[in-house]
Amino acid sequence: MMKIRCSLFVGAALLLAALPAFAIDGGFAAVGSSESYYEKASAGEAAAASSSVAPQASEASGGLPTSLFVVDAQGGVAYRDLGNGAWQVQLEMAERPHEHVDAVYDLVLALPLPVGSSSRAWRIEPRTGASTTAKRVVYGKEAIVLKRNVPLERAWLPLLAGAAGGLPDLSRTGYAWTLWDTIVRYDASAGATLQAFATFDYTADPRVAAPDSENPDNAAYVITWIPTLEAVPPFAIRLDVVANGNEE
Amino acid sequence: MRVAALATGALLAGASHPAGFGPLAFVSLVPLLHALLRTPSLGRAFRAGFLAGLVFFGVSFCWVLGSQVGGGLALPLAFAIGIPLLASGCGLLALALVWIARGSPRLALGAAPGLWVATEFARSQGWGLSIPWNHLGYALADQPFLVQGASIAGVYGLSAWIVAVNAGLVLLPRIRPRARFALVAALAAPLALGPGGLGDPESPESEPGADSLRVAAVQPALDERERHVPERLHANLRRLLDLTQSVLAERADVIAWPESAWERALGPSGDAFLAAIAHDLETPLVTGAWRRPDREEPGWRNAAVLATSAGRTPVVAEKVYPVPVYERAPDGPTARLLARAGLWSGRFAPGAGSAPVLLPREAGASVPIGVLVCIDASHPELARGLRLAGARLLIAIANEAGTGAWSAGLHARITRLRAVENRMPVVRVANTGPTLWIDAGGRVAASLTPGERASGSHALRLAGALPLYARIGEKAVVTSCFFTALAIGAARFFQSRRGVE
Repeated sequence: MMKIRCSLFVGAALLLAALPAFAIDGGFAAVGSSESYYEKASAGEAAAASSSVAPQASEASGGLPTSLFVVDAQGGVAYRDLGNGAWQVQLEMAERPHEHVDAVYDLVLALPLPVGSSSRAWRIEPRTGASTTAKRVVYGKEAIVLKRNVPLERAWLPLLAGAAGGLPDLSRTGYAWTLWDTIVRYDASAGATLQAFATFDYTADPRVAAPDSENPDNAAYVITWIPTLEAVPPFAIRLDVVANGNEE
Repeated sequence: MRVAALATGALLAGASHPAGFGPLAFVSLVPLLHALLRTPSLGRAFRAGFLAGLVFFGVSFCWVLGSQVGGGLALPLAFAIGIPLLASGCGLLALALVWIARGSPRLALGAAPGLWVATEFARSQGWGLSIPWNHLGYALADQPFLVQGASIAGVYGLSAWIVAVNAGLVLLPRIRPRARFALVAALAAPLALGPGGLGDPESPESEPGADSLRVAAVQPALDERERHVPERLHANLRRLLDLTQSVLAERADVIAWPESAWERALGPSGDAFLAAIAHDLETPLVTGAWRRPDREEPGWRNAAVLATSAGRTPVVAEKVYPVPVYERAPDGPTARLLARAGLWSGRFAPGAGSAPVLLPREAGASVPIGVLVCIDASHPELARGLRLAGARLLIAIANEAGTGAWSAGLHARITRLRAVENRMPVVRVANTGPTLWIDAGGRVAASLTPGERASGSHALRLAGALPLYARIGEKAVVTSCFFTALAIGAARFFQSRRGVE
């Protein structure tokens, strides 16, 4: 199996006004800046905006952002055809600096799946370590579980999919965006780096093919949505679709 | 006369929160009533009633002076103006009693319950002072044994009963022995409604099942100075989530956070992040939040939201009675004048009345529940309206971090009576507590210690049949009391015209 390691996980550092010195956005540093994304993007933004009398730009959408700040990262997502309409999608996340985000945020995975696909459990449980000794990813004393969030898909995808600065338009590809999320609270005791991988099994029409790895639109995104910075596009790490996992 | 007035004022205060010697209420008016029957002077009667009221309300509202809300002298000024206004009601009551007593002391004692209830009702209304606290009936709220009659006549009925007992004690030495027995029996009759009696719901026990609802409540105990401060938003939210997670080991039907616990302003489309939290918790979440005004609305709304895993965050209640001065937006010439002088800091407009909302349940049918925000639970007609509209459980969210433990205890006591009146379980969820799970008989089934960061989960049996109070409401009681007093007053008027003194 071709394994491609990629950077994943919380790609953002929220700088609260009172705690600027504690922001360490290792993810952003990896792409050549010593300053975190949120530090740069939110300069002058007051977290107080949420309590302000002035209406917010994203108010009409319930506070949902309408664009993303996308960072390309190594690694990706592979789709394996298990036969008879059974599929497995594999996500690999290479070890990367742990983001110190002193906030509560929604960690959202945007993952293309075939239209009409089904699964027994719409959950993705990231694991860490070597595949033989892997353990569940525990963060903030909670085992991380990404649950498919259909209501969020209904609310957010119309704003995001196909929009400038949003997610690619997957219409006519046979695939559609699915959103998986979990609420994460910053864990100051987490280690300096994070690494994880995950798999998800689903079934689809046997005629469905894996997404074309040559098409740059085919990718998964790990989005860090921090609700207090409504005017700042959320930080998103892009995981390219890689060639069919059956090539192993 | 002055000593009697002071004694009555002190006894009334002693029966009320926080002293909490509730049964003292049954004798608290005896000194004043006794003294009033001995004086023919209307002026002296007014002064005595005013003095008693000054002591009673002056002590009962001391929490206002210790509040951390409002600006500068706003609350002390409100206290200085409001207490004499409230005391004036007692003065007028005493004046009316003496006027009637000139014709017949017995008639005056008979009129006392109706007149007292009329003053309580008037000061609670929006057209009055909109101050619904410290009704005499609330003095008994901690004694479920004594308050079951509220399911028939509400808090005003309890107040009328208490005043009737006081009047009866004054009357006893003035009537024949046989009549005394009948009087005592009549005054003690409401006790038959106590535990195991006519008015008690079937059983205080509630086991999880189809006819019960498990409510998880979070009491974050956030200091008022740390709430709605942008730099604290994430820390406060983290505390709420930590406490919530710790209590969800046992699955709950609904989670409740306190008044304005959600510190992001709500827009017209709700809040997608709050919906994401409810989805993550896999449990519906009721929380207080501030709703941003629409373009044509005059001010913010202090609201409650139900976030469900279906991604919706509808407003399910808006505070109908924002607290004057520090919460309600200035809505009259005097208030606007005070606001210009920096003595009125409120910015919330009164909300519309709320209706029950269907709470989806993983197992079983949806359950209609009602939600009230803070002191709206002190207005009996709001809880009754929800019950009449089908609510089978009431969640009362509150925050008294700024007004202190005294006012929190007062509200908790009041909330217990709402449960009895409507035979409906109530979960009071307060930022600094006390957070209470109250059954339909007014008993506290579970609680969180006031002032502590805590969370808990408890199942309460859902409301059954509508009690009489929910059907007829307090207006019937108030009207009957008022007309009783009016009839007695009229009798006294015609007596005086005939020269009978």
